[in-house]
Amino acid sequence: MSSSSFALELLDADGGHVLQTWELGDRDLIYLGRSRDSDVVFSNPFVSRTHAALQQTAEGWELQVISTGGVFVDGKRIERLILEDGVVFRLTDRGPWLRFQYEVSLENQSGGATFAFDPARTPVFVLDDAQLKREVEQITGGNYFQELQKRMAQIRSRTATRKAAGESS
Amino acid sequence: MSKIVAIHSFRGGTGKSNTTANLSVLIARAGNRVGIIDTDIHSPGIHVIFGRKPESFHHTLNDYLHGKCSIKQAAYDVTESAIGRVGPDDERPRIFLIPSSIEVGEIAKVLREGYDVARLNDGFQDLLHDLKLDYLMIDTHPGVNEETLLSIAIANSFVLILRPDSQDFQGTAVTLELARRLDVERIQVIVNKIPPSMDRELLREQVESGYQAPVIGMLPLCNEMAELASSGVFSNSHPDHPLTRELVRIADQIMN
Ligand SMILES: Nc1ncnc2c1ncn2[C@@H]1O[C@H](COP(=O)(O)OP(=O)(O)OP(=O)(O)O)[C@@H](O)[C@H]1O
Ligand SMILES: [Mg+2]
Repeated sequence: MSSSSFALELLDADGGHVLQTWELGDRDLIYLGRSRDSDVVFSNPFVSRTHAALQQTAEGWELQVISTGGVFVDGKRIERLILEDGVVFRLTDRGPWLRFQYEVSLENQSGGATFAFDPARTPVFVLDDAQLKREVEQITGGNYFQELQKRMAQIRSRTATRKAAGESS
Repeated sequence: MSKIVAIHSFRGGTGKSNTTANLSVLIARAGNRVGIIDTDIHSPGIHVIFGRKPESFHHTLNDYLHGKCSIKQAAYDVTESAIGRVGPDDERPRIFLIPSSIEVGEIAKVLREGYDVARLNDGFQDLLHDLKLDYLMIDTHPGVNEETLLSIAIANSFVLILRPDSQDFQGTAVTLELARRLDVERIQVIVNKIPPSMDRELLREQVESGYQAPVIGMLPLCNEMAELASSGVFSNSHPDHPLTRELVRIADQIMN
């Protein structure tokens, strides 16, 4: 999983300097846009609120364009793009330049592997049952939850009585 | 038979408020009286989608919880702005909004003192009865807290919204399990903000088998919704958009 982490770099207009870096760790879906609930938020007026998404796929990280403003690589409009390490793309033809950078962990380098993608990862949602059980027990084991269960039973029977009374009147 | 539908998500910003507003409008348009209650007392917001200014509310859900008014006094008929003009005596369709206070002092007070569980439940029941509602939609605060557990427990139908990523998937499972333990009658799942090239059928299969609950909608990530920026009801302004068509299918499933 750690092999999938990457960074996005915001470049200045000459493409030389990195103005800002977003480290994007253990995620498999990243939203880019001007909207504040995006994972990578831009204030640039050319960028749409939901401009693009990055999704981890069997072939690697894939960039998908959402906004009609588009995404450009080497001056050409693209729709989808498998992101190679170091690739530079631009949000709209006048907006910010971004560089995609895989963060290869040391283990991976020493193991000789580049990026160890599991080919069956698109989309792969598997529950961590042990973690789920732990978290649920944490909440349900507390006094509050047990109290709520009891009170809900009372409230439900009271509501049923009220309803019955309301319907007969 | 009236129904309480609670709409919830593990994480913030998944699209609860916008989905709730759109589903409410679509359900009302199908010939129903719908109430929308904003129990997101920590960060209320659904009134914005209906173009209402907080100053226009004399009473809010908070006033009711503090015993300052009846719940009916905190209910505002937003039918005209939400679905257009209906005859003044027409009983259906109707939409009522029960807002939460956005005053910081009020928010702090609820955080400090918590909710009176029984009083909130009484309020829900009064609303159903006094406004002759067919549906009461509850827009909740994200995460698991007292108010979430309460809305889960009171609802006939619990709708969970998630984004298609692993973090949401795992977190949502906790809420789902809590809902089961609180004996909710019906649990349904909506996946929102699905990027265009994601394999939707595979996604549906994996969510349904992981959660053992039906996925009643798969909503695409689209910039038109984002650009609307919660300033209106999407299904009104974009009646032919694929997102609206999917919302219509979800509304049908909520109404059965
Ligand atoms: N399918 C979609 N595609 C693109 N943007 C969307 C979509 N659904 C919702 N949004 C956007 O996501 C943002 C959050 O939506 P909304 O406020 O409805 O979420 P919420 O779950 O109620 O958030 P909160 O947890 O803050 O209450 C809004 O800007 C909205 O326009
Ligand atoms: Mg909301």
